[in-house]
Amino acid sequence: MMREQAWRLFAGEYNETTCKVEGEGEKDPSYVVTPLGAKVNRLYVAGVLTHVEDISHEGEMFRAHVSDPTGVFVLYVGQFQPEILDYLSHMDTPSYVALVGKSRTYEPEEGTIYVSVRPEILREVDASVRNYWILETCRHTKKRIEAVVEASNMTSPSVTELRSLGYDTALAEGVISSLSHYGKIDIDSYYVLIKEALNSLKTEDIQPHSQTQEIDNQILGLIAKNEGDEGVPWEKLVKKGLEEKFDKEVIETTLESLLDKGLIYEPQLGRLKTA
Amino acid sequence: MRMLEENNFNSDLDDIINALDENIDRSELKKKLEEYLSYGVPLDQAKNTLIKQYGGTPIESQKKNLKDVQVNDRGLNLVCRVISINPKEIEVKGEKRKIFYGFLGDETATRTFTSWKDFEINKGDVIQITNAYSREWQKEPQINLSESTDITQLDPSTIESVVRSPATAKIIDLRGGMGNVEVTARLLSLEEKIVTARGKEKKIYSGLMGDTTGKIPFTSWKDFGLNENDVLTVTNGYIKSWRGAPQLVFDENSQVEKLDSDKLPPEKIGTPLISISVLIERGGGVDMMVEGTVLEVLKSSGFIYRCPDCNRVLRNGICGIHGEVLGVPDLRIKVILDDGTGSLTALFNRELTEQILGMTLDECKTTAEEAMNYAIIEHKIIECMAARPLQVTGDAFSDEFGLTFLVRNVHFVSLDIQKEANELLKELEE
Repeated sequence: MMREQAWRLFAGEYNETTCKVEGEGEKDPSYVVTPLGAKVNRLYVAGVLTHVEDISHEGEMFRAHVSDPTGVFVLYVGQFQPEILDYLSHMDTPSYVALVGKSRTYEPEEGTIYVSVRPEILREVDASVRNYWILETCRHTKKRIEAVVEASNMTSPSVTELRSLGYDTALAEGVISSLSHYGKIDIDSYYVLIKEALNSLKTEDIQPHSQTQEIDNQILGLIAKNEGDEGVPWEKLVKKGLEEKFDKEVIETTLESLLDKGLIYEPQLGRLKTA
Repeated sequence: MRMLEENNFNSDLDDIINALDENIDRSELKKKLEEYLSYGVPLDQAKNTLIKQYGGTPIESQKKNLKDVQVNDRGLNLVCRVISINPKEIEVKGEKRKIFYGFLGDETATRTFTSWKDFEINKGDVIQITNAYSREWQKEPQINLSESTDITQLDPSTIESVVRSPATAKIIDLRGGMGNVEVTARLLSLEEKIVTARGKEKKIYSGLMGDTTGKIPFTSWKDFGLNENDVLTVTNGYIKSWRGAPQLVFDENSQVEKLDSDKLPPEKIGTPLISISVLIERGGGVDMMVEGTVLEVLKSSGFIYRCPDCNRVLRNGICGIHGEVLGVPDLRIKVILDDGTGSLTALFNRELTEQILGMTLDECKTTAEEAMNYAIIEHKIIECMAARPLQVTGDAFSDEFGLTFLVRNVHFVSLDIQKEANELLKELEE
């Protein structure tokens, strides 16, 4: 049995996944197919560990969040990965991590699918590993977009045709499954996703800038003061910021940059909490 | 496939009536056709049977030229010459089965085929094939003959000459099992060997050939007067797999043409960077280059002892074959390297391990002994390599467990990330 490759993809693409392909035989692997045709059994992510939570309250099951410039990967770690449980329980947040994991799905009801990741290996890394991952993932995402565009332009899209254009079998199969499951795919939104990710690499050198750093810290403090258990609603925080004489635009860009850096996260949509 | 219940057979009845001179009652014809079909006679056969009954000439239904066969065609009707046929034993659901494979040809193309039943056909036969299907094999359609296929022997003169369309291939595109290939390459190294084949001694010539896309080992079973640095076009060679990796073989049935040596100067012989998926599809290769991220440093990397007799790695000072022996210290690294398209196991020998660690074997030994822990070397390796992108060159082989890459050269990929990001952004703006 060949080892499954570890796909490079952003949370922004992965979390949009609603297509599942079950293996036929007992030992056949299962996959999820993303809108851009990544047929994922295994994935490799380098991002910011923002949150670790013991959801079993007995140290048997952890939920963790790993943030990239486009969104958040949700990780579930169970007792069959004692090394990772142990590792996570000692990790500080935020910190840079790299992980290899398997795709997992959760279907609370018919037609609703949530994807998550079950890590096989996870370790702390430095920023250079994370930045290389972002660049590499942009390239891979771009290639998938191109494959989807090619396939959409075919009169009868097929694996053979895609392969003859030089796409490898796994991607060709994924793209064909994706087209039949998702129908029309909003290509532009994925171009935006790549650009956001690339721009986050550019802002990297602005970060040490002392003034930005100071604003970051002040806004962080503001969130910490108002977050409570549930996090502070976005609108409320903007109001608090305005009271502190911050410009509205400055507040919002700062919040976005804090989210990107994984220093804050959204426990619920529209609520902010420090990591 | 036509569905019985949805069909009035109007076009089929038209076909039959058109093939006959006299006027036949349409409803009577329909009744007879449906009777045949209710017995499970294939539609085309039923039509032809009726045409024959009424004294007409059977329709050569949708006879296709091999050139026009696509992947996943069904109900294929072909007239071909059997260029080659070989038996093969395979296991299907735990049961041994004998199948046949080889090449079919007509005036337009040659194609590989697989026969799932013994039709008692031989090399050189010209056959009419009814109701075959096609699948994809090596990016080409492959003809499949199954239980429901009919074969009729025809007069061999039906096909006078089969087109010999050699697959002109670049080295990187060669795959084990390909036949009739044409390759133009430079001869990089050459040696003569005496082998015993079928009880007879025979001189063979082997070595390495290269073109702009890569290198491949070759064996020639005939003396073509080869010399190192010749630039050659080999026609009608075939590709064998050795430990999964493709090798070019040519013999009496092949032609070798020497070209002007400037056609492929040495500096153009390359080892281009390829994706791991391509390497996996190829099954391996000699002098290949890939890039990937180290996803995992495998246990058994680091400081090891080997058996002085058989070189096996000792476990707790014991060799699996020779028992308790005085081990020879060594260093090695085994990692999972993955580029997002595929995954392989890369092996680094002592020299490369020393280079990666920046420590000699002796230094490693001292360090481990001071720490009273050999695993310290493994931890150092993990620190150096985990999650790092590498570019490696070397030889790759494969088996059912995947691809193994014996690294000869390694370097850590370091990019100016911001510059690369800006370039990619620019590309996206266009």
